[in-house]
Amino acid sequence: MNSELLAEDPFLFGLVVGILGLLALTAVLIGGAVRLRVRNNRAQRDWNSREQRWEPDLLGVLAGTRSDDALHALVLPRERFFFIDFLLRYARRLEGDEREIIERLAAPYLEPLAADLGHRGDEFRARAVRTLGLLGQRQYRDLLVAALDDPSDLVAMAAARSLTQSGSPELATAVLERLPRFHQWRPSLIASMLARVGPAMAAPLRAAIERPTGDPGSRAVAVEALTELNDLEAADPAVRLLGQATDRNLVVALLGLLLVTGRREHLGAIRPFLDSPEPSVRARAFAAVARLDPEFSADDIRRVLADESPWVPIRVVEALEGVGAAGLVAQINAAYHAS
Amino acid sequence: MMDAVWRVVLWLNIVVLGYFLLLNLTYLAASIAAFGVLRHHVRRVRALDLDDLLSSLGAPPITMIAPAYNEEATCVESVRSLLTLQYPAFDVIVVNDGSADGTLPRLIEAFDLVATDRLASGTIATAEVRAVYTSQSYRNLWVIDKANGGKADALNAGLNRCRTPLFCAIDADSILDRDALQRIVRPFLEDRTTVAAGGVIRIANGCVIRDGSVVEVGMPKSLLAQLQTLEYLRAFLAGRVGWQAAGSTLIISGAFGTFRRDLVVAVGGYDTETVGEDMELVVRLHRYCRDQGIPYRVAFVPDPAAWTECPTTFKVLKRQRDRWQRGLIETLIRHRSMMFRRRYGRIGWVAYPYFVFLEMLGPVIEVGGYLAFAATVLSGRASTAYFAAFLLVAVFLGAALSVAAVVLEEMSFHRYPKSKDLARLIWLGVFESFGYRQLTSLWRLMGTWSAIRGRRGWGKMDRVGFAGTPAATALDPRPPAPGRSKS
Repeated sequence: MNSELLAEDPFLFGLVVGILGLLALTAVLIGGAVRLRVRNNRAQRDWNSREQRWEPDLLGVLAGTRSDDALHALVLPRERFFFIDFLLRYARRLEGDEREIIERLAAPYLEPLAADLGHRGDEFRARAVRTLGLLGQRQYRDLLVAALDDPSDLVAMAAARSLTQSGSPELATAVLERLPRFHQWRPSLIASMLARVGPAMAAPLRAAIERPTGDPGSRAVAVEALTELNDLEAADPAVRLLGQATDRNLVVALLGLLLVTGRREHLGAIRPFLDSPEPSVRARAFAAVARLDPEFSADDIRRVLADESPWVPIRVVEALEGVGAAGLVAQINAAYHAS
Repeated sequence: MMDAVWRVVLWLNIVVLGYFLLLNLTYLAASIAAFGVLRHHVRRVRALDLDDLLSSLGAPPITMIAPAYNEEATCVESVRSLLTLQYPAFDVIVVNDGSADGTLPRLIEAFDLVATDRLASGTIATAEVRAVYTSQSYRNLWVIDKANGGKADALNAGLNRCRTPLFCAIDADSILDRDALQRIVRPFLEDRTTVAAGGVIRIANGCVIRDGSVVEVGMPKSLLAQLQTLEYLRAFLAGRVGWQAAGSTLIISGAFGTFRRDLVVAVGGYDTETVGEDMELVVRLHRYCRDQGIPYRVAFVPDPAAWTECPTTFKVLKRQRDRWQRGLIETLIRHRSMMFRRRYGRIGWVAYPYFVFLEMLGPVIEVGGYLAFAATVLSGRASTAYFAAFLLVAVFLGAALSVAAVVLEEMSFHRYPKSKDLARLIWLGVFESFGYRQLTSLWRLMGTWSAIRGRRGWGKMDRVGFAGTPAATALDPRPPAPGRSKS
């Protein structure tokens, strides 16, 4: 391919330029792949060597045979973020006094991380919140509460998890007050986070479901959390709310709560929902009745099996299995297969 | 007369050139988008601290549905592998789709199965369910024994017995990463409108598998399998991640996809009349949600992986590609009214036309182009300089796109730790342009012809089995049962 040919044929010239460009691009990409490989291998090697350097002293500090200063002396200034990552691994696994030692060891290194809360990237802010939540809960609680109002959902969720993991109902209440903030997330996840705080969370949750200004989505989450907590005192407020609720998810959640915590006197409030046009509501209502009504009988079983939704018999069987009513379960199964 | 013929050939060359440019520009755009998405993804997962999130909180229960047909050799190992997944709450439903071998007796013996009552939660029509078994050793294992009806029918039978809000469809012969469920469930946690999420399919040939887990990742020995390894990397890390960035995920692999059960039941479950039931379901979900005005999201998650054995002979690979092409065509024709309709947004205006013009018609244009170009060169109407230039453009463009996929892998998941495997992947990026790409285009063209002729069924797929025990698994149910794909 000589230069005269290229000069005469601009299309061919363009193709040759394209080839050179692609060749350069391929070379750059190959170089990039190799460089990444070298970097990844080096990072892995460095990490292993740091772990080997720090681990014996950390175990010594945990066992009380080494001082904090001895371990800190092994951490070079440029390694402080790696050291925090190293401590995080232990923080997730340890509790009580040992966890406090880890937090104490991390304390001198957390301040630069707090500065990351102003980072432009939401993943950086979320990571900083998560780390501060795990290693500096007490020191940075105000920052964590403030992070609940971060424009990024990811950061707000990281803060919510940290605050609910604290076990403090006061801090978890800050999350409870901002439930609409988390409506994009799966409700059962938020409910579990709140329930994880423990029985001390039940009172604020009950207050949340009775708050007249509460939106149905947030109330449904609070109800789910109370269900997870098996909070018997929530049954009466649930019955009161059931009389007014129109949102399907909220009604289903309330019936689920009554299924777990309800009493016989609540049957009157539940029965009207046996005729609901919503299959999920009917299924929960039948399940609650099956569990709470000692006179649940063959007639009721016929009605359950006649329901157009397959979920009604399934939920009833689950509820009956939960109270050990093996006879009724067998009757339902036999009738189901006969039909 | 000859002039007219040559004018047609010339136009064909121009059409092919346009197709080539458009296709590769799309791939390039997808690769560039994938760089951003993967960087963001890796940081996001680290920020979320996913393992901790799911180990302690209310992870949504999932049912794994694994259809099995004549899997006697591998079924026990596969089920054991599923039972060891790290996830707080999951059921496993194995659907024995009328196997003619000892699949069911082997499962009964290995897992202490006894017949049980399990009320159906769905009413999708399927071939007759003969019995439902539960394991006395594993409380979360169920086996459905049914008459043969094909993969889609088996999935529907599993769906009818599924009680969890999410289900995960997998191939019984695939191996999931231990934390695959934890990772694939993330979009469902973060966004309650998520209706489906797909994971990555990776090639298991060449990997060391122990106790139902991939413990060491390596390149396969067979050149054909190596080429597929690179092809899968490109398809998933560049292609699907790129489509995800465009909010237009149209395919979730049948070998590993998670769905909202209620919505799949609402659309009628899997279509038993197509060999591309995985893609068809996703397209139907898009269509249903948009028709009903339901806010929804179909996600692709690039880190959870299902490892699968790929074909190592030309004969079996040809059958696979033929089947994939038929599945694609059947789906696109069935939902053709979605194309260029405002209601379907980016799906109708971007993804659908791409799949119709560049993927469905691609092989026809490409093979036609090879013939036209060869005729042009052989007749002396194009200089050898042109021939060489076009060849080099094609080789380097293909190589650049493949190496970009390798860079994406290295940047994000770094699953091939041996440096010689990295070098091999890079080399394959150049090598595949000489024969392999042309061959797959030809097979896809043949698949197009099969679709036009109305051919049905899957074709037999010989498998060696993960334990290295030679075994042949026939995935060819009796007609008219349609088939299974890992596309």
